Amino acid sequence: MRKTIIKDDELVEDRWSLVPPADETVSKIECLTKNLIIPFEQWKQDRESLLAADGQKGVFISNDDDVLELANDIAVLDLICIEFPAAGDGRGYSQAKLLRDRLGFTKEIRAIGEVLTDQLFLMRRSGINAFDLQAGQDLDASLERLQPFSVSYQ
Amino acid sequence: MYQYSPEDQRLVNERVMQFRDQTERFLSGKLSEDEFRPLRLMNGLYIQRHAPMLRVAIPYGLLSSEQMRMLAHISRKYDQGYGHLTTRQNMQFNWLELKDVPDVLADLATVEMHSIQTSGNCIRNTSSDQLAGVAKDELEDPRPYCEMIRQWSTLHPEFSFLPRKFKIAVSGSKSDRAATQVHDIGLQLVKHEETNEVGFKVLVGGGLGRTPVIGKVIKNYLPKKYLLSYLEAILRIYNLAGRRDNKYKARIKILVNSLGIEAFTRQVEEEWGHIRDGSLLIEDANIDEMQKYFQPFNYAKQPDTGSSQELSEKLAASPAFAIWYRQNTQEHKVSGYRIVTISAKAPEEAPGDLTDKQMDGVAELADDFSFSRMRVTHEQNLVLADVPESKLHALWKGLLSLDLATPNVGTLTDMICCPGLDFCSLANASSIPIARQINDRFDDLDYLYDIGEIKVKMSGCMNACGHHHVGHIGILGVDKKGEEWYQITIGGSAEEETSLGKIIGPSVAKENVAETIATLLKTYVERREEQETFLQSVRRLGVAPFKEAVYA
Repeated sequence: MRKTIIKDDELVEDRWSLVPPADETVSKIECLTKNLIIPFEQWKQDRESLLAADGQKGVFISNDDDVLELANDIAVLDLICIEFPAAGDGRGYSQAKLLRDRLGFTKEIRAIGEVLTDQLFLMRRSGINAFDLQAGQDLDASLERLQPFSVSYQ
Repeated sequence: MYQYSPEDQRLVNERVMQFRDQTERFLSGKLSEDEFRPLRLMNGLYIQRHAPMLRVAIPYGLLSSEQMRMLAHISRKYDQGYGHLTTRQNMQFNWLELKDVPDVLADLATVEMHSIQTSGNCIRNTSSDQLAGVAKDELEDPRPYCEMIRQWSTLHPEFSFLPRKFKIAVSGSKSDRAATQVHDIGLQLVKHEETNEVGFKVLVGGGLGRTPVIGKVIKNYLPKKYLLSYLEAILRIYNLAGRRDNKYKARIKILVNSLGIEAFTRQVEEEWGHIRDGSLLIEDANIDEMQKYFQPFNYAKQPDTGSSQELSEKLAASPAFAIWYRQNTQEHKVSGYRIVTISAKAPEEAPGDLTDKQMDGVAELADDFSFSRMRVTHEQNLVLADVPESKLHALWKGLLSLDLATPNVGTLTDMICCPGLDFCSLANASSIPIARQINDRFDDLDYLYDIGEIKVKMSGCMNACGHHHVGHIGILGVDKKGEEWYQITIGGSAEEETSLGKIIGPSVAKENVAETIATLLKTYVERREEQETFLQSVRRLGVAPFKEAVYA
């Protein structure tokens, strides 16, 4: 069964899945046809052939990756997934901001990891538009709390 | 003083609603302890030894009498009838109940107050000079910029989960009363050497805590319009590159030191180059608009001779009033007015504590004599900044009846002191009983006046909330096999020539702290040259003679 995520302020069925770590059985092209989200390292390694293939392209960013390295790929990517290994690790907010403001990425930016109800409004305002919440978080309650503020200074 | 716009008010109201929702979910078991902790911390709520402690933000230390009365009301209704002034110019309440905190916040919101970002790994309350707008040596009032920073940093989506807390201070005077050199970012208003335009000198990577560091200059001159974009660039570099593996190495000072200031500066400048002319650019009109909130009061043109004549007579008639006048008041930039520091350091009270009655009383005195405004100092006192000379005697009488006229400002007993082991769950040793010991030992005011200006700063643990590193005499509580011991430093200062104190030797037993200070002072009195302060003597003589005297 497909997982439910929040995307563009709605509950939707997720059509992407992550490449299992260090799974060498998945071929590069398979990644694309199956909507697998490719780790950034692998993306960099196989970039040429991945770019040449058809299919949706998603990349998985760890929080110590430099997102500016994606500058030349922005136009071809459909999804950039940002990892939050801990709720208190705020690097992903700056990564999202740079992807939107500096590189002009307009498609899906998704938060994954320890993504909690009460942080979504900050993520959303940093440019993240999809949330793969941590297991156990109440999705309906999260949806209700996407915009606790009607005003902001930034 | 800044007045909330409807949008400012809405944001604070919505923050109350958000926190009420979070608290209710926690109390009903829908949020775990681990999930709730960062949420309450983002709102200044700690769980301490006895009860939750709530830190209320007092932006750059400025309060109206209406706000002060609300603080009194909160201490009376929800707490045990007192509050504690902090070194970030905030006020803490120590005895709240968690279930009441949303109501406390709702009450605060009615007077344009909140506790947003008074703790947590985010940008904290911006602190400033308590004499902003009235100091003679001021180039420009720093408070409009403090307010801009407050707004820019409030619920900043990108910078709410930094590697560690982040503190900014702004000063606009020659004398640095805001300790800008020991902040994550210190901003000093300065004049450009050639154009004479006023902008900012920007320091970065200062701080106290476990690893005290003096801030380094990252930009000698920053035009005002770039203030926020430059801050954003620094914060972004820090957020992405600051260490997160060890919370004791996570402050920006560690990053700046490990990269070196040149490399750090290059990264910031590069980032800034992308954003400097973007949406954060401050227009002159924005500055004008903000400055309107901080205009000088409509000072009366004092009939000079009459009022100063009256004051002279009162001073001659009452030696106690004269002593208080000399010690606790200072020159105002407008003649006919004085700046009054209200000492929250009565010998028998915990330093920086105010009762509800005192808060109400000060609010009334501010209404009567100082345009209904007051300031909190980072040295844990209050300031009435605009008192006509002719009202000083009446004000002094009022303060006497509130037990707030101790004439000890700037002396040994005007100590900075953290809550220590009595309240704080981080502390290794107590602070308040040491303050009492020092007050008992040095109860002779004439002796204190002879010693002159001296800043004693005390922390109950190495987190350094009491700024001990920059005390002329610093006292740090340490735990030795379950016993409280105290490490003494001398020669620290947070003023213009900021310096970190040097340890005089092995820590001393709890009962010997005041006696050790007595020995330091005796050495100073013996060795001082004419007009030399304690700090100047230490700088001239070095630690050795003091060390010898203490450990002889």
